[in-house]
Amino acid sequence: MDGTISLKQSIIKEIEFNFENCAISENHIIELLGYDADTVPEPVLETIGFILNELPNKVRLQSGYKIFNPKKVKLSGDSFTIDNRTFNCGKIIYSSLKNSETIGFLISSIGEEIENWSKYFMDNNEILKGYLIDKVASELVEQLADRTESLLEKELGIIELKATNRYSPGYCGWSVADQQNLFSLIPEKFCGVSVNDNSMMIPIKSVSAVIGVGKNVEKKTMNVQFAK
Amino acid sequence: MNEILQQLSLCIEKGRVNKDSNYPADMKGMPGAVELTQQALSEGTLAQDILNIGFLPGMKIVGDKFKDGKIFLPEVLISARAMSSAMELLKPYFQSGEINYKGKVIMGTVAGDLHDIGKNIVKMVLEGGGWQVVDLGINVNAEKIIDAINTNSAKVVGLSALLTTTMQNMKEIVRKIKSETKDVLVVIGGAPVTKAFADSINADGYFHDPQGMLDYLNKKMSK
Repeated sequence: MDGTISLKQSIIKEIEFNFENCAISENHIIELLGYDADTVPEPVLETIGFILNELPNKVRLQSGYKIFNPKKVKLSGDSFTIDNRTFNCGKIIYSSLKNSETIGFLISSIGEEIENWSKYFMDNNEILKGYLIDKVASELVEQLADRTESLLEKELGIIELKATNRYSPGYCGWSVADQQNLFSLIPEKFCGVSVNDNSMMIPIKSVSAVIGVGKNVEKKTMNVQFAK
Repeated sequence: MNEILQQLSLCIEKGRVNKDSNYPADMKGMPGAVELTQQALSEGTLAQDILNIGFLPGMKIVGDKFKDGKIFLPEVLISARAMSSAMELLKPYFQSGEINYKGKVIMGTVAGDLHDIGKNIVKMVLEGGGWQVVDLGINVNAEKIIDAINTNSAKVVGLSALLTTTMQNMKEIVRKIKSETKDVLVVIGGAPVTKAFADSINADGYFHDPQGMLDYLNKKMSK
């Protein structure tokens, strides 16, 4: 850390998004399932319509981030340390973070009700509905994380800083067990999310990630192979 | 009789539930799986034949198409819905013992893990393949599984995990099942699970799709 960053202290922000601005559409879900408009079976189309109609009442879109005071952050040897907690993020992620001046955490969640909604249909032998709700929920929470990431980038831009891609524990060779460290550095139930002893986030439809922040970091185009 | 069962099989393959359904469009107005099952039963067809000749071949075609990448999962679920609607009519025959399941499978998502979508889909495919599934739900420990094996005299266990952390709990569960029961097959699955991991923890099988597990169990049973 050379201390050049404009951040003098940690910044923490929680945001509640409106569902109206979500880009989740019928066509998008059809594509996500592998179909196109001509091949999607009628019951799937009907179920998607039903889900999209009810969806705004079944989710709560909470997001937030914490950018750490650069003085608390150290990057070296395929890992980074914040407040004496070491994150063994591995080679792939470290290579992207290495020029960061500080680290940010991002949390997004769409709440618990949608899980219960999916489970209700699963338990009542309507597996197609239960499955499609789960698919839509997964997509929605990723979109929420994308929106939060964009917002963060915009705010960093004001103070002439940039952000790397976001990286989540459990991907790119980074152990999901580091969720424990991550959640120990943010307030309890930040954005309504907690982590259990097995490093699983509750609600399940939540995203946690780290982002490198600095003047000389860059966002890379990810390919699926790389992300796995 | 065979013609009805062939039509039944086609209804299940195509996901046609009943005569009031608009799906699929090219079968509109025709009887569905429910009516054909009723008709077969009223004409004196053995319930076991309805299962073996009507239900199972339809689901097998769907499962194979999914395994070969020719259809997507929602289509399997549409077929399963048709089958489970008609299966309601066969329930009394299972209870009376007139129809025999191929066997019992104890299933659960391992301790610490709360994901159940994958497990539920596997369960549905196994049931569609003629197996009885005892679903223990999520966050299931070894003791509960062993208890279920003993209570149900089951010879197959299916374990699911969706996280690399909870996947590790499979190791202890498999060890306990193997040490405290006899001749029980343990098969595992879930996003982070691999064949190498299954081998390393002494599990009997790993499958990345439900049809793979069904084929494996059917093959084991036929030996």
